[in-house]
Parts: sequence; C-alpha cells; structure tokens
Amino acid sequence: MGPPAAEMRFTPFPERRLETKDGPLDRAARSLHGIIAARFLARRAALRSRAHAVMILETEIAALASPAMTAAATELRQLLRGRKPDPFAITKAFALVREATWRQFGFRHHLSQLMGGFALLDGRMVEMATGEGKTVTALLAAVVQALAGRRVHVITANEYLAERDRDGLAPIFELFDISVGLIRPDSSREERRTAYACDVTYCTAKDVVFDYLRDRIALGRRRKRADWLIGRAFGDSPDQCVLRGLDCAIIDEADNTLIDEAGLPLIISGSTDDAVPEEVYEKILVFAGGLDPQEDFRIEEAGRRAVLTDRGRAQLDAVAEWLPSPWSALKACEHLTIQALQALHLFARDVHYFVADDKVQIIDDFTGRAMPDRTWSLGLHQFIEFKEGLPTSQERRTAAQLTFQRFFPRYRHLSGMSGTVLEVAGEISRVYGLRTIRIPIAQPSGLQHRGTRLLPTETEKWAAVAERAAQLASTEKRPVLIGTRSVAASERISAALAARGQPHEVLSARQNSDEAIRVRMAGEAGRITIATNIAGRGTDIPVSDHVASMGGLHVILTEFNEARRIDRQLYGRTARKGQAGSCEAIVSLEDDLFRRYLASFLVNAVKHLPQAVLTRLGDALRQRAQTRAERRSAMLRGIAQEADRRHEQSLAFAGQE
Amino acid sequence: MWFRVAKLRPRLRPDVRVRRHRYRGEVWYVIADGSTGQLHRFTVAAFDLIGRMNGTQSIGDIWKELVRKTGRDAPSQGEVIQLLAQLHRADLLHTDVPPDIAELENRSRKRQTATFLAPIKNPLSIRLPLGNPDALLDHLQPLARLIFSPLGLLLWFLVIAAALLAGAIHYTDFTHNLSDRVLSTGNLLLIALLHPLMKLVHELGHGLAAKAFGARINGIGIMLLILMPMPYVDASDAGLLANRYHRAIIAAAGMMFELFIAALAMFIWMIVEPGTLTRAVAFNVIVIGGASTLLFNLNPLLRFDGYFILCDLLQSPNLGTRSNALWIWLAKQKLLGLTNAAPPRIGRGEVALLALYAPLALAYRIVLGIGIALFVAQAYFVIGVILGLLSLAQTLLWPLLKGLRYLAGDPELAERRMRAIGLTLAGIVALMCLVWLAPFPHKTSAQGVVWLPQGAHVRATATGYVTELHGVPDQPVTFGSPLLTLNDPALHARLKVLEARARMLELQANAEWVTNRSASQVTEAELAQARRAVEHLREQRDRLQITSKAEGHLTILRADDLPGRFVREGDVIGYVLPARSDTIRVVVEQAEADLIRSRLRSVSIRIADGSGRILPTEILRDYPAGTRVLPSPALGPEGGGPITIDTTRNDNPQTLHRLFELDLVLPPNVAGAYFGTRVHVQFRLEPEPLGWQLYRAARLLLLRRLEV
Repeated sequence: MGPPAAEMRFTPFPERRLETKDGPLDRAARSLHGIIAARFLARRAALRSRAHAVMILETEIAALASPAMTAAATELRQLLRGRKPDPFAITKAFALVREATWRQFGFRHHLSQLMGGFALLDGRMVEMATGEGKTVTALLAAVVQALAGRRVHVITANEYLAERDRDGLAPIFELFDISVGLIRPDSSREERRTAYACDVTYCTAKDVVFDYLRDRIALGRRRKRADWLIGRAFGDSPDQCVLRGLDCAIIDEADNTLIDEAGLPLIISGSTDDAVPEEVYEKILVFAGGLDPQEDFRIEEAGRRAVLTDRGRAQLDAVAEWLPSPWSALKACEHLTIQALQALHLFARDVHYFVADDKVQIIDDFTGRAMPDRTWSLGLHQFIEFKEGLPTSQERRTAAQLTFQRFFPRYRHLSGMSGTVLEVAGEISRVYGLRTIRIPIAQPSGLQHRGTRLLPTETEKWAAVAERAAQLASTEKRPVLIGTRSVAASERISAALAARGQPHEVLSARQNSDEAIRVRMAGEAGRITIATNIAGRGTDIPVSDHVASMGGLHVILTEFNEARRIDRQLYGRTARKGQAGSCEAIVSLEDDLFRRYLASFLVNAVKHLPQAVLTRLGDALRQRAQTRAERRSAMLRGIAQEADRRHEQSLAFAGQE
Repeated sequence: MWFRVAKLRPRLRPDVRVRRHRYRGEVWYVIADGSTGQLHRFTVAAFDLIGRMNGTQSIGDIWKELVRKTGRDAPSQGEVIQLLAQLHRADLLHTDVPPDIAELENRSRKRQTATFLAPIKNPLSIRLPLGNPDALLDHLQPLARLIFSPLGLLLWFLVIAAALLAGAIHYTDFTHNLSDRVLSTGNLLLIALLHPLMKLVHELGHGLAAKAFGARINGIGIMLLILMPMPYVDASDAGLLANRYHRAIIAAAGMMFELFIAALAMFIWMIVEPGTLTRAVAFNVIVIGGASTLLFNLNPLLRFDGYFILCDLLQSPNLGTRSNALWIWLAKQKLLGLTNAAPPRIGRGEVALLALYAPLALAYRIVLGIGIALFVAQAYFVIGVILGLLSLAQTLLWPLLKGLRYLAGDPELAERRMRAIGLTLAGIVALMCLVWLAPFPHKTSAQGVVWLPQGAHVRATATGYVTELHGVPDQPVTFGSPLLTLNDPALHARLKVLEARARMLELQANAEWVTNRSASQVTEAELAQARRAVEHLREQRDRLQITSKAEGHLTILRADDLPGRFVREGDVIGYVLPARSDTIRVVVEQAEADLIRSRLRSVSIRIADGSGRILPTEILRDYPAGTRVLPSPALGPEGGGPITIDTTRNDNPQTLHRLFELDLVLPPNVAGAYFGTRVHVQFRLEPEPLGWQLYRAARLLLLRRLEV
C-alpha cells in the first residue's frame, strides 16, 4: 500500500465533458432504451458464462501461495490496461479476488456476485437483491479497474459503510498491491489528498462532490491543465488539487444517490461580506407572521413554496420603509418575506430540521440523518433560527454548488449497484446513460412477510407497534427493528415502548457517533432498535445462528415511504444472505402517504370499516398511494432536471460550471 | 447561482451601437448587434446595469452600486442574471471567462438549422440574400440627403398633388373599364415586366432614405413572395435611429418613390397619344406604383412597410410581437393562474392597440393564407394545395405545436400542468362541439330572373314564312286571339298530294271490294295510313295560325321585318306579357340543388330594383333535369351574373357546370318585378353545424377542381 509517491502531481484532472447537444428526443430515446434494455436486453447468459469461466479457475488459483497471487496480479496489470483488456486477464483477476476473499473471509463469490462484477466492469447499473453481498461484488470490479491503472472511487451510502468496507477489504487490496484510501467527513485536506492518491478510495458521494467543488474553487478560472500551468508561471494557480481525476466510480445504493438525492444541490458556502443585519430578519419575520394565509399569501403545498398575492405584495411598502438600505428594495424585501413565510409555514421542527447545540441542523429527508455542514440558503436558515429563538448565524453565500446529477456523469467510467433500481431504469439511462441489468438472486430469500396492518389512527398504530415489538422481543426473544420516517416518529414509538417499560435503542440522526456499535448490537436476541430510514441503506445487521434459528430479525415498517424501493430497502435489513427473517408493516390511515396521495373522501370512507376489512384493503391502498406518489415524484424530478438544464443553458455566459 | 455570476467582469461587445430612444414618454435604449444588425431594446433600469458593465467592474460590485443608488426599485439578483442571459443570447456580451465553446457551437448550429428550415416552414416568403450594397449606397448619400431634404419633400408633395389633380380630371377616362384593361393577356405581360422594375425603385427608396438619415443597410436580396421574385432591402438598422419620423420616412420611402414615378407616369399618360406603347407603359406604372402599392404595402396587418410606419408613428415598436406577448400573458394569468408571470411592458395608452393588433393580424393572415392557396390552386392544383397546407401550418400548426410542447414540458407549468391540459382539452371539446354539433344558420344564395308565366312566349308553332300579323304590337290581346299567320307552301302542296292520294286509294278500295277482296283489304290499310298522314299535315297547317296563349300586351321581336320572315318551329317571335309575372326562375349548382331539395326551410328574395326589400316566397316548381343553357344572359358573366360560361364553345354558349332550374313564386303586388329583372334569392336551410358546412364547401371545391 504505502503512501502515494510524493512527486505525484495533483494537477487539474481528467473528467468527462458534459454533453450539451442533447435534445429532448435524445433524452426520450435514451430513456426508452434504458427501460427496454433493462427488461429485455439483459444478456445474462453471456455474463453467466463469463462467471462460470471464473469458477473453473478455482482449483488452479487455490494452489497458489499468497506471494504467487501477488505476482500473478502484477503480471495481469499490463494485460488489463488499455481500451480492450484481455478477457482472460479479467477472468483470472476475478478468480484471484475470489480466492483472496475465501482466504480472508471464508466464503467465495458465488455466481450472481461474479456476474454482478462483470456487469459493473461493463459500466452497468446492477440490480442485485438486498443481502446478496454487494460489497464484495464491488470489490471484484474495483480490483480489476485498479489493476488496469484506473483510479477507482467506491462510493458508499454513508461514512460508516465506507470505513467498514475499507477496513474489511484492505487485506485483499494489499494482497494485490493496490493502495486503498478512505475519506472521512472530518478528514483534513492533506488526508484527503493522500486518500485520493490511492488506487482505490472509499468515500461517500457527498464527500467526493465537496472535494471536487473545493478543487474547482481553488482552481478558479484555471481549470484546464494548460491554463493551470500558465497560472503556475504567474504564481496564481493553486499548488495541488485534492482529487486526481474523475476516472472510475462504483456507486453503491445508486438509486438513492442518482435518483432520490440527485437534484439536491450540494453547496459550499463562504460567508458574505455584506451580511443581512439581524433586525432585518426580525422585522420581516414579524411582518410575515402577521400576513393572512388566504388573503395575503398562498402556500403551494406540492411545490413547497409560498407565493405572495397582490394584496400581500401591496403591504410590502410598509415594512420596506423600516429596513436599512439594500433590503428596502422591494424585490429583496419580497424575496425575504417569502423565505420568512416558508420558514414559518413549510418547515417544521423535528421533521425538516432539529435543534441541537443552539443550531438548526437540517434533516436529510432520505436518510433521516443530520447534515451538520449544510445550511439552507438565501436567508431561509436564518429565519428558521430566528423562529426557534436561536442566535442567527451569518448568512453564508454560495461559493459553489453542484448536484449529483450533474456531477456523476463527469466520471469517465461510471457503474453502480442497488437492491432496487429497475423501476427507475429509464431515468438512469436518460440522465446518466447507464444501462440497468438485473442479476438473479443466488440464494432463495428466507424472508417471511407477515403482511400489512392498516389502522385508522396514528395513536392506535403506535400502540400496535409497541405491543407487537414487546411481544416479539420479550416472549420470543427475537431482535426487532422498527423503521420510522422521522425523528419525531422515532420519539413517539420510543415513548410508547418506554410506557410499557420495554428497553429499546433509538438510532436517529442526533446520535451517530456510536452508530456502528448500535447497529451491530441490533441483531442481539430480544433487542428492540428504533431507526429512521438510515437503517435502510447498506447496513448489515449481523444475526447470530441462535437468533436466526428463532426466526431471525423482525422488521416493523411503521410508515410507508413514497417509493416502494425504500420500503424494500428496509425489509432488506433482515433475512440477509439466506438467513431467516421476517417483516411486517403496521401503518395508519393518518400517515403522510395516505393523506397526501389518496383522495380524502376515500380515506374517510375507509376509516369506518371494521378492522378486518381494513387490513385486507391495506395493500391495495398502499399500491394506489405509492403508484401516485412515484409518478408524481418522477414528474417533479423530470421538471427539476429540465429547469436545471435550461438554467444551465442560460448561464452559459458565465463559462462552464 | 449568483456566485457564478458575481465575479464576472462583462462588457458589451465593442462593435455594438447604442442609442437612446423615447417611446411614449419613456426612455429606452436600443442596442444594435454589429455583425447581424439585430436590434434589442432595453429599459432604463436594465441599461443602468448594462451601462455600468465596462469589463473592469464585477457584476457583484455593479449590483451593489446599483442597489445603493436606486434603493427601493433596484433589480434583484435573479433579474440581473436574467438580463445577462438575455444579452448573451443576443450575442451582445463579452465576458472575461473563456466562452463555453460547446454551447456556442450548439447555438450556431441551431441558427443554421433555423436558416435552413425557414423556407421550408414558410414557402410563401423565401429570402435569398444577395449581398450588401452599403458601401455603394454611401456614395449616393449626398443625393439621398438632397431627396429627403425639406425641399425634396416639398417637391414630392407638389408633384403628387399635381398628379392627383390630373387624375381627378381624367378620372372617368382613366378608370373606364379598368379591370378589363388591366387583366387582359397582353397587359399582364407588360405588368410582369414592369413590376420588378417598380419594386427595384421601391427598394432604392428605402436604401436612399436609410442613407439620408444615417442608417446602415444590412443587405439586399430577392424575396420569393408566393413564389414571385421581388427585391428586398434589409434596412432594419433604421430602427436604431432615435427620431421616429426619420424611421417612418425610411419605411415609407419605398412607397414614396413608387408614387413619385406613378405621378410622373400620369403626366406622360396625359400627353401621349392613345394606343401607343408608351401610353400603355405609363398606364401600368400608374396602376402598379399608385394603386397596388398602396393596397399591398400600406396594410399594417402584415409585416410590410405599413406595419413599420404604424409602429414608428404610434411609438409602439415591435407591435405584433408585443401584442402576442400580451395575449399569451393574459392567457397565462387568467386561464392558467400563473400569477407570477412577468407582465409585458405596456407604454402609456398602448393597451387597446396591443389588445387589438394580434387577433386582427391573425384573422387577416388566416384569410389571406387561404386566399393565396385558393388563388394558386386555380393555376396549379397540387402546388396550391401544398402551399395552402404549409401556410396554414405556418399560421396555425407551428404555434399549436409550440403550445403543445409548452403544455407537455415547460417547467413553468409544473403544478398547473393538469389544469392547463384540462383547460386545453375542454377548449378543444368546446370548439369541436361548436363546430360539429351546434347547429348554425345555414343558407345558400343564388340569382334568378323574373320569369314569364307559362304561355307568355309567342313561339312559332310551325315552320314557315310569316305572312300576316293580326295582333297589334304593344296592344293588349286576349287569350286565343290570333296573332300571326304563317305560310308554308311546301306544306300546302304536300297536303294536296296526300289528299289526292287518299281519294285515289278510297276509290281503288271501293272498286276492289267487289273484284278482289284480299287486294281491297291491303288498299284499305294504305288508305288508313294516308288518312292519318293527311290528318297530321292538316294539324300542321292549322298550327300556321298562331294564337295567344295568355292575356296581356303583345310584344313582337323585330316587328318591322316580320312579314315574310322565315321562322322555325319553336322560335320565339314575341311575348304576350301579362300585367304581372308570377314566377322567378333560379339556377343553382348541383350540390346546392341537393341541399335545397333535402334541407330547405324557407326562401326569401330580393329584387334588384334598388329597394332592398326582402320578401318571403316558396318554391313553385323544381325541374329534376339539369341543363347547361342559361335561362337568361343576365345570369352569365356578360350580364354580371355569377355563373361561369364555358368559353370554348363560342357558337352555343353553355355553362361550365351543370345547372338545375327552380321556379319560385313571385309574390303578388311587387312593384318593379319586370320580366328579366335580376332577383337575389336566399335559401335558408336547416341549421347545420359549421363543420359540416365547411366540409361540404371544401369537398365541393375539391371535386370541382378535379372535375369529378
């Protein structure tokens, strides 16, 4: 492994150019191709025969001693380079990795993992069932690409997983003389540079985007290598970049990164020199609080924004008079008022943010985690702070921003894995040009689905969940994982359990320091763990054979998500690698999903039905609501992408992003 | 996104030209792109920002300065970005960052595609640029200054006034049978030769005027207007001039030149002898330079000279575009509820003008497009149909497609897409209902003549020479009174022969009855035949005596040379005109006849006597057989009627299409309903949806073209 060569030049790096000629027809065709290719053009037979070829080499490789394996890998390096690497070299490399895994962990890649590895090498989006061992699948592709001389970023769902995978797999990389680095959120710039200098780097998507943005800020206008060299001559180029290039990325939980979070901008901010004085926030917040929700402004709920009516706008004059110079401009004033209205009416404590250490921390809608380094922009953050009675932080000005959807296409070799991606194959193809392939499961799943219980009210739901969990944990001594969608929900179920005197653990965004230990302990017999969606991604909750024999981990889903994929992810926490496990859903008609995506008359009609009928209807109602929700979010994403594209076009005068 | 913009140090491209204009009391800045000559108009507020962009100050600093200065009405950062984007799209911006080459290339390719597609999208107006005579015209600048000096203009007015006076004096002489003279074949050739020359003069006028006031010419070329080549000159740079009268004069200069030439031609026409080529040329120059130019170019509803003159004089630049924008904004605001859409800028007192222009222009363009297509279709059917479809596509389909694209994909709609689509569908359904279901009054009109009652015609009932006139012309006659006697010597002789033969056969039969019974029977048969023949000839002889079959005044055609004239059986010799007629004969075409037979509700007539009275009536008789002979020449082209005559048959005029005749009741007590008076007839049919009415009309048109 060793530290990267000190003389390695961190110069402006290679990346793929973003396609600008794309027309609407191109996009539609790509989308269609993605859907058709995913369903009908998978060519799994070819993958299977390649995988079998790897397995044939098993005995031959097994005979090699470790130094011989290192030597064999070194020999392969030459053969793997270039545009068309030797197919046999790849096969052999896979066989070597497989053998190394056996020696390290005591299991060998099975057929589906090998197929997945080949698909990743081909630059595909691979759908593999949850619990199929995606980590080692990524290992295959990472090793081969690293041997081929590419710089590989393995993008994991969170830093915990990044660390776990790096630590677990480091011996194997070491065996093949591949250096491996890890980016932690708290890594220093120097550490990061070292980590990126490695052949393989484990990191989260956010980290790599932020590093990329920081590099771009540091480079300023001198983004091309030649430019940079000129800059060096004049002494105005930065010495080194942190990244070495966007060469090759293997994204785990790709649907989350590339679809759900794709449009959220990651913002690097620098504080502005002309900050808004506190009195402005105060006055505007007071003014906005006095506005009438019908007459003066409207909330466009679905669009998640507030809009002033003409009457509301007419009142701006009055408040503008009281504001200091630049904010007395009516347009600025209106803008601030809208932000204040949104802070007051659209953002709720413990749903969108929570307060810790006198600070407002944004909750990631998808993982339920706190995002300590992010702030809302354009004054919104300050209004929320003010609303909560916290000291207002300096407004920070955006210095650079980027979305995943504009970042990941810049990789020269992109591939990804997920348990649940087939539904969005069209979108993946349209935006990233990746073809999706589904790899069949190797082991039959031992998951038992105990069905959906639909209850009329939320109170009944929490009672039912607590009762069920207590029953399983104390009488059957099985571990129980309760998945929630928000910190508030976690707290309510925690209270319900506490009321029954049932010991339990709450994993929520507020306390993520000892997360890893808690996750590992969640599989112990009789343990109840409450977790927000965080638990739904990549985490492996180890279950002992003893526990497995009792039926394994039981997962209770307490609220359906808008996308089926995310529900499946949560269920996927149990019954991993062929073990036993069970899951069920206990939900109520008052849940967000039903309230938002079912007609209210339908909900009201169903509410008064007897419980037995309601239980039967549960799945049908969920299907309907989720189908509507998915369609809607796909539409909103499409709109956002289109708006983003147009926006980018109109900003062409500012040079490339 | 401000962070990407704030540090830019942009400036306007060095080759742009900026002028300060005043429209309706408001100050605007007009910027001309140096390379393409395109003009862009900016408000004072926008120019406040643009003017500060000098390439050394960053946008962030400029904005801050602006906010300090203007305070309350300062633009937001978003607006600044929008303005920059607008400047960039117009290619007016020069920034200190390396341009995004891919984006530039993309745009230039789009522009190329648009240029390539333009003639296909709008084949009725194709521009072929030929070059730029700007430098050449510069040499003529002194001349231009002279022409467009106050003195020149005064001279122009004098000449035009004199010509008008002359024209007024010779008005009848000049306009006598104008359409015949203009549209005769020989003259059309002359016009075809003179027209391009006149248009050259016209364009020269624009060019010189532009030079006189210091504007540039961006190019000249040939425009294929409805496939007819016309020169054009691109003087859009004139829009940069601050003086609106100068701009208006440049737009009007073409017509002024043509009118001047026409005025000179008027004097020549007066001086030169009739019948000479010079006079014919002068005549046509007057027609082209005077009438047609004013009709064609002065119309403000198309983007010709008149439009620009109107824009300049009313100080409403870009009237058409802005009028469309106003309507689009209204639709967004009121129908889609997009209350955030920025309202178009409307100058003082401009609202009514903007509100009116777009619908008028659209309606006019549609009518004109269909008219042109029909016109071309008469000569070249297939080309005409294609052109018609294309021009319809241009005026209706492209905007429709754009609208659909907006509905399907514009991010602006986001939340309201369903509402927008719903409204559109509802609109379409409503329109469809209106067109295909809602009954509309349906009528068809025709022309007829007051017809004589049965028996009013005095016809020769036999063939012969007129020997005697019994009735006195213009005197009343009674029913059955003798009118004429004819003589047919041959008939008399034949009768005598036959009578003799009958007598002979009678005798012979009598004789044979005794001697030869069987022969007698043969003879009897011959006798019977002979007798019948005699009977027939006697009837003919009786018919030589013509009697009146009606009561009324006798009118004899060419009464003077009547005695001794030879007439054939059936010839009309005169009329017995009753005190009043009771029928009207109408001819209608086949399709109309069908409609009238199946869907008639009521009939009304208006007699062409100037009274304008409309009278209800009903159908008296309907002749099922078609005819190609007109009942009265008044209905043909010679008489100013609507029916076309097949001109290839000179000897025996027949109508081009088969016609059907109907007789209508002429209501009693109608004054002025003289025989042969033209009658306008309106058949009110069962109400029918407009769609079906149009479909029928289109089908008829097509079938007629295809001679089916």
